[in-house]
Amino acid sequence: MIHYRPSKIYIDPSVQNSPITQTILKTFPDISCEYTSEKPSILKKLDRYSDPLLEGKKHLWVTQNKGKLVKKCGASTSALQNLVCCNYFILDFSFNCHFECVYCFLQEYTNLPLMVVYANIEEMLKTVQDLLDRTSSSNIRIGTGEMADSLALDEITGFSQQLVPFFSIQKKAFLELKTKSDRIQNLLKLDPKGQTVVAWSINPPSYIQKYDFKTALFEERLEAAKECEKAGYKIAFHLDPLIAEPTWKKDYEELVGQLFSRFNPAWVSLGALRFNANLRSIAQKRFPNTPLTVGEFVSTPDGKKRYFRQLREELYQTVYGYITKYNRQTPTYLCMENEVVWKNSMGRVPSSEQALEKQIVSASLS
Amino acid sequence: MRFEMISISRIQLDNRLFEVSFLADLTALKISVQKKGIVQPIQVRSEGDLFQIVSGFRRLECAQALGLTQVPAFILGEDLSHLECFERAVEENFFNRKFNCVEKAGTIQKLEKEFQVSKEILIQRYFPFLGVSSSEAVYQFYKNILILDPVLQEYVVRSNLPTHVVEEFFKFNIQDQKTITPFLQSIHFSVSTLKEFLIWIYEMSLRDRASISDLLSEPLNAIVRNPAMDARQKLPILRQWLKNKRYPMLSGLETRFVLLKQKLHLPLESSEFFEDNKIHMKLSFQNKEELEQWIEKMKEASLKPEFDELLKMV
Ligand code: SF4
Repeated sequence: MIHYRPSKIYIDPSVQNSPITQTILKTFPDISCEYTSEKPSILKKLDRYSDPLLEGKKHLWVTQNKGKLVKKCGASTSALQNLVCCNYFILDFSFNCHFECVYCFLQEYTNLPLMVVYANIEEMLKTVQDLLDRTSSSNIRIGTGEMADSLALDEITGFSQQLVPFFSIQKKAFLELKTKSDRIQNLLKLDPKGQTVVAWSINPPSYIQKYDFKTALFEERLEAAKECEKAGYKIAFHLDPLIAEPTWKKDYEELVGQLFSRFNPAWVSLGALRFNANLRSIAQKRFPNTPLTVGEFVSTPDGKKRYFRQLREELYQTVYGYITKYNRQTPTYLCMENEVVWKNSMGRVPSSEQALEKQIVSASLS
Repeated sequence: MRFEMISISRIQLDNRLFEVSFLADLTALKISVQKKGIVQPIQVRSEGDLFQIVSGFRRLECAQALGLTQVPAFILGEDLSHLECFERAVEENFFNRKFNCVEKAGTIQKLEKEFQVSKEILIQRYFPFLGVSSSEAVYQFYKNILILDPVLQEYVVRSNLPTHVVEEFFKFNIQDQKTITPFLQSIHFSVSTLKEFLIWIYEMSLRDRASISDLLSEPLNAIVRNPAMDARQKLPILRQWLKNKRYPMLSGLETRFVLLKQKLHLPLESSEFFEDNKIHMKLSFQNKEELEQWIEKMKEASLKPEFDELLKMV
């Protein structure tokens, strides 16, 4: 895995005393730092570079999240009808990622290609606490890996040191840290008390080599997962994106075999490769000759490009079949899919998002 | 700067250092020169006893073609640098007409190579002047235009293709570009069908690890070189061929659906790309008898094995 090192740091004075900011400054005492309450000036100059996204990531902006700090996952709020969702909440602690996954949707955010860390952690935790005090659900999953990798920067921000202890005393909520990294050193020093799940997005080793640039390799991810398991964390896997390479059946069979012979995952999610409107051409430009985009994609009603339905169903059915061969009890769900696909691939449609949430959490964490 | 009528024989006609035009259409200009003569003097600079042309290449060509021996000219001061002369040439051309993308690319290349303008200054100072945005991506775009095969450059200009389509050509090497050329010459693509063609063949070559010439040899012979088809007929046939190759599973399903539908004698439709699991049917009737006929047809169809197969498909 490639470690992150910015060429310049911009700090919003309103968060200069945050423990997150302090950890960053301690990690990079030698890197030039600018205090500014404005957007970093580099944003205006990025189009002078051949890959503004790559250049932007060299600049780290430590600021406060002025938007909604905790929100429901995109699937719950999608305009797409009949999308089955798992009532997932997202804590936006960071934006962007120094890894380079060919399919990463963050590449579309060309107006803010910087690495952004939101350092108003006290406010974030207070918002989570308010949400939990108000909710009747006792199975809430809150994740940080939506607009960034949950752990890729943990060694420089120390977010986990704030989040894991906070969730360890919660009764109604679980924290999910979703990652493709192996940066678990902070986690190993903490006691999650069963309330934190560390989830790895994973694919067959050759797919990781081809499509997940700069991330931890397959074996590095699994070794990190083993260490976390030993330290008391629950482990989950996201087989997302499922990629229909010519040898996908054999590749995913081997992958599932590897995962289930070494772990008893808290849950597994499956999500077939999908693209937003412009991502396909952005990816083709940034990664010339990538074979990722050559599958049979069609436009679906939400404006995304997906494998056509029959192929998605075959992917899900087959991989789910491999999973149930090992363990019928492992909660397995589809990410961002509609009822038809659920029914045809999994043989069932969850009755509501709360029901799915309960099924995922209670089966795995009780 | 002074004005003079100068003899064409004193102009270095093959010195094209300051020329910026590409594929200029001289028809209208020729008519105008024939009627009114050269209204706007050309610009030249002295080179000893001779003159080097700075702007007015097209006017001069028309004058020659019309057999004129003298043209009106502004002779630029010798204090002007080559770069300043070139700026004047660009400025004059730019205010008289719209530059095509190859002309912009050529201008950028001359500024950089002939007049040693740094990339930084080029992008910040000259790009706004040329009406393009000051970014590295735009700089690369114009660099890539110049390495396109000349036949393609001409096609791009004549078809007035938008940037997002021109960019698709950059994915192909010269050899591949030459393979594509006969398709462009013999098929009437719209902007969107051309883009689709370029994207699909590129993706298929990646997927099948095949060269563009291997990939396109079949349609080249069966469609492009088929004397029995005209340019408009060729496009839908080519598109269907491409779709079958690019989306073999989806095309297979669609073909099967059409076949089953024909056997059932019902106006059935699938949802777009089979994304939902419903079959749609739209019928029209004028009276009860016609409706009853439809009901009868539907009953018959529902008993056929093809009907079950159709339901399984969705
Ligand atoms: S790890 Fe996730 S956030 Fe980072 S580049 Fe890959 S897909 Fe994007």
